[in-house]
Amino acid sequence: MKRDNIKIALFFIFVSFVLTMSVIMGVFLAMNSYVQQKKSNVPLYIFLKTDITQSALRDFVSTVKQLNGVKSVKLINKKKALDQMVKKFHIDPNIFVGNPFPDSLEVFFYSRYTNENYFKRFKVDITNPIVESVAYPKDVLGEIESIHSKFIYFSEIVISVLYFVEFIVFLSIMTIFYSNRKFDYDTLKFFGIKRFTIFRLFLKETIVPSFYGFLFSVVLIFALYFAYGSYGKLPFISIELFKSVQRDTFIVNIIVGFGFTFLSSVLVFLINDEKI
Amino acid sequence: MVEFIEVTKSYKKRPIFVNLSFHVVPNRINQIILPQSTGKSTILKMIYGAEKPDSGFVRVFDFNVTDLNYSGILLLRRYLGIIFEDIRLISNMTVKDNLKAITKLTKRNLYLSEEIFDMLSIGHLLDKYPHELSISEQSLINIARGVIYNFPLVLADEPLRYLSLDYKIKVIRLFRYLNEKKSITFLIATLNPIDENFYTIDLRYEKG
Repeated sequence: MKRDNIKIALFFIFVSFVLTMSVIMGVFLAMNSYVQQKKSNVPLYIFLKTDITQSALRDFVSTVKQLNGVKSVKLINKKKALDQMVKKFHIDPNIFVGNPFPDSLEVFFYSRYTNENYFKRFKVDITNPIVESVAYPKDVLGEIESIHSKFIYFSEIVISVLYFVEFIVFLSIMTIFYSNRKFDYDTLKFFGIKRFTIFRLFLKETIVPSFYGFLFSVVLIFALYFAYGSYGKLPFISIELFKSVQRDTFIVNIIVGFGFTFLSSVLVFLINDEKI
Repeated sequence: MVEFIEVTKSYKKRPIFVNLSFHVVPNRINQIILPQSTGKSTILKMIYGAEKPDSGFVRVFDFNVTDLNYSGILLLRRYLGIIFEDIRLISNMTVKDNLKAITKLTKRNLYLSEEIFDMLSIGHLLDKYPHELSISEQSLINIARGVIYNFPLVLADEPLRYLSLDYKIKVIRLFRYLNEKKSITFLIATLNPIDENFYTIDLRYEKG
């Protein structure tokens, strides 16, 4: 059989689309996970009154743990707080008459709850009488939130532009594909073959190379997993994190790739096919 | 079967025919003899609806082709055998698939005159692709595709153009056989007379 270069070109376009978009999206998602992880390390501090009982403290801790968005709660008692300060600043402990620190809680939230609005609402909602005050590092929180939202905005723009460009590439190859087949399709029309039948023929011809591209991509993606597992060391992106996001982006881009193939075939056929 | 009534046709405002009238004699092999680039292919294209006349009527099987919508034209084409001047084999199909494409794609269970393979000596070419054939072999397949379904009317645009004398004789013999045994009507557009027994159509028109 004659080698069909157009089909080969479509095969490679599909493979390069799936791999490029999967890897880029995978890197963005992995970096996003990393920033989210850093974001959820910002605690909210609850300082407690000095005259509380141990049972009231335990009850309060378990109540806080059950609140919406709370990931973990760390109790810092007054002795530990004093020891930490003395150690950190090399202070002579004898200068204190008593322990000036209260018992306190460090509350960590899931990433999407780690923002100033939620912290403000949380502060208002904590009405337990054993609470003396609530505080959080506003500057750090604001900065990390700003970095995160800018990063999401940047990645959305980049991904959108890349998808747009890829769709143009699909449209171009389909236009070439149709032009290459136009003579044959017109001949079939001279024998009374309906345009819809010819469209199905065209669609079949474009989907088949994409399907082979999908199979080839599966092989390549497994090779990529193996290579990254053995040699990959992108900063901040662990192998586990990379693999978990890569699988999702790969599936998404396979679906988008078939969608682009179908949509560009339909568009090209509608634009170019004539009632001859 | 086919009748042109005062048909006028022009290309880019240059008239080719003005008031062209003729009719095809049923159950005969008809030939239209015209010099190069004077509208032979255009006459055939107007019969199968690939070209529309500027005015006048083209009647095929009692249908006025100019009145048919596109679905009607496609339906009409399903009852015509067409032999193209430029061969037009489907490039990514084998010879066998080229010959069967019409039945396969229109889902019709048409009778294939397989004796044609012997008459044209093309049986050994069935599994080949068009690019593996010589131009004369491709031309034979083009002819076979036009006549293999025994459609009542076959339109042939310079069918002998790429053939050697041996093949020409085979093809003329085939046309005669199909005309005599199966009452197939032929309309052949040609530069020179093919056979003295073929009916030469008298074209009446004003020159553009």
